[in-house]
Amino acid sequence: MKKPIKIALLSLNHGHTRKYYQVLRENPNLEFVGASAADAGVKALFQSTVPGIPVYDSDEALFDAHPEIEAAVLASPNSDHLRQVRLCAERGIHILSMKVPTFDPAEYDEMIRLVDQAGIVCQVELELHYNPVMQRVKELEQSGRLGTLRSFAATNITLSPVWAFPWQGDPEQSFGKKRPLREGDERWCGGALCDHPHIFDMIRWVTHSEFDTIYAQVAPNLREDLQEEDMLAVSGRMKNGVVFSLDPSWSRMEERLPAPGPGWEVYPKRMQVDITLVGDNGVVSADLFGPNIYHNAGPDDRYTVQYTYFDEWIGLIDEFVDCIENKKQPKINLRWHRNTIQAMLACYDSIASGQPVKL
Amino acid sequence: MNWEQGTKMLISLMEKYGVAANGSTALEEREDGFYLNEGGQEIPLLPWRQERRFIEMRALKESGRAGLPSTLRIGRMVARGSSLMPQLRRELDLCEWLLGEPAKTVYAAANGPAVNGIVTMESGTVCTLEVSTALGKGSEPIDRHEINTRRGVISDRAVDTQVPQDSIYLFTDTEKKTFTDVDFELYGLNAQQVSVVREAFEVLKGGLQQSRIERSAELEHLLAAVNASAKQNRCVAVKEEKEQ
Repeated sequence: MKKPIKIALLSLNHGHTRKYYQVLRENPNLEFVGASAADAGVKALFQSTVPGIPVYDSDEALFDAHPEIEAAVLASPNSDHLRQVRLCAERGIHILSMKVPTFDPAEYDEMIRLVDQAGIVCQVELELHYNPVMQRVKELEQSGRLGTLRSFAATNITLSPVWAFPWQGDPEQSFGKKRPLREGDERWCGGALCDHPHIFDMIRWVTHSEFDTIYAQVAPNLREDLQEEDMLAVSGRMKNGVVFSLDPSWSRMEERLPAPGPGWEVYPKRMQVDITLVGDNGVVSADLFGPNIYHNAGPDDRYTVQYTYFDEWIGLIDEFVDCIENKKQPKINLRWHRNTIQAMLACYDSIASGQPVKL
Repeated sequence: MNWEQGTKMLISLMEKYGVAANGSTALEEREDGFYLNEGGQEIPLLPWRQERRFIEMRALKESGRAGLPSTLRIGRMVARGSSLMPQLRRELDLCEWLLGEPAKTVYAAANGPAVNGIVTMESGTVCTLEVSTALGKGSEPIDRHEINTRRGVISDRAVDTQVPQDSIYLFTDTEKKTFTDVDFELYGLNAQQVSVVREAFEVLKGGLQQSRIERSAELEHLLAAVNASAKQNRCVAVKEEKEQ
């Protein structure tokens, strides 16, 4: 039996945090040492859900109390990531970053430098790489049965998490600063687009190509009281000619619950990730989170699609552990992910200019 | 498709409801779409406007019950060997007709049998288009139309499904067959044939000949804007394209 890696969970206020409550306790290769809490609310929730794991009021207090910590999950708002990367790098602590390390290119480069200098592993949490439907889609494409790939279309459409995770509705915490969407528009960058990097990442993985041209357009918000975009469409072309259509909107309405739970969705399904590949010889159409079950039970007796989840986090954590133990570079490392973040920034540039952006 | 039968059904509808034509009538299918030949005049048809799903979607949007539209998502895949332009023409007409307003700008990216694009309407509502001709030969079209509004979603497809549903599924040792019967008066015609006959009948009954000819010309301008965008890799203002 290998010695488990001593791991900590920081901040506790990212949308994926509660996934780690379970994952960090159940993976035999990890020892869940402690957590830091961004505020009293998430601290209380953690203490009631994960009894027996100490939780501290700051990252520094956690690390000082537990110098044995070897790795940390940065479950925090995007605006906190650089500070936490710096803190981890100084102490030689390996990092599992949330899906957006930062939208600031200078900060991003600083993170790469810090990680390189410290010689630590930094893996970005893009869990679709460990989704079995996605694995099959990629295999089908690679088998050549579609002929030359011509088009990639994907949705990553969800309800909006901003009521449960308010930092996602704050452009300074989500996008890193207040940048207007476009002239004459009162909204700021930092909404649905910032929540959904996965499809921008998947297209690079499936097509083995990089973005060439991106055009994006924002639509009127579904949520009038949101100060960021919630509906947008993206189209364009990869360098190998594949054309694409990406929908990263918050197009499914939600009950404004303070924490995710039963009854959160208003539309029957809270998330839809579909991928359609069109080749010269055929088409693959995939639902990455299906099939499901259907009910109209409580709390609202409303028709609901109940997921039959795959656990992508098992593969994700296995890779993280393997990279730490064997000093490997993760598949989704900061350098790989940089072009995905750049493409998302190009969407905002296109929205501002009204024209496609060449990368 | 044998349009003789469709023409006969059209004439029987005309006789039943006392609708007269200006000369002989016949239905025709060409590569670029369906036409009604009325006394030697060719009238382009918009059969999709007679599909019950689109009539209901439009009515729901028009009634205001769904609230302000934000986006319309359109996806349409048809069999290999089909021509792409008629598919685009159909979906562009649906885009403007379902939303009840003209397109302002168009961006399109084309590659072989696929075109993806974004149409922005005068009001700012955004329509996405994903159209392709790459399904296996003989496949029935697979499409989806979804309007996202401030109050919810209007869609012609069931939640959590990827393909259209049929009303009848027949399973035997030798057959796995589906039927979608949508019109009692035109029983025996398939859904597409029904929409063509119904459209021709509505044109004759409502005196819509000239408006269909004019609409067809407008759609040519929209298609030209799509082509210009795809060739020049820029977002094209539809008005500019019309003026050229």
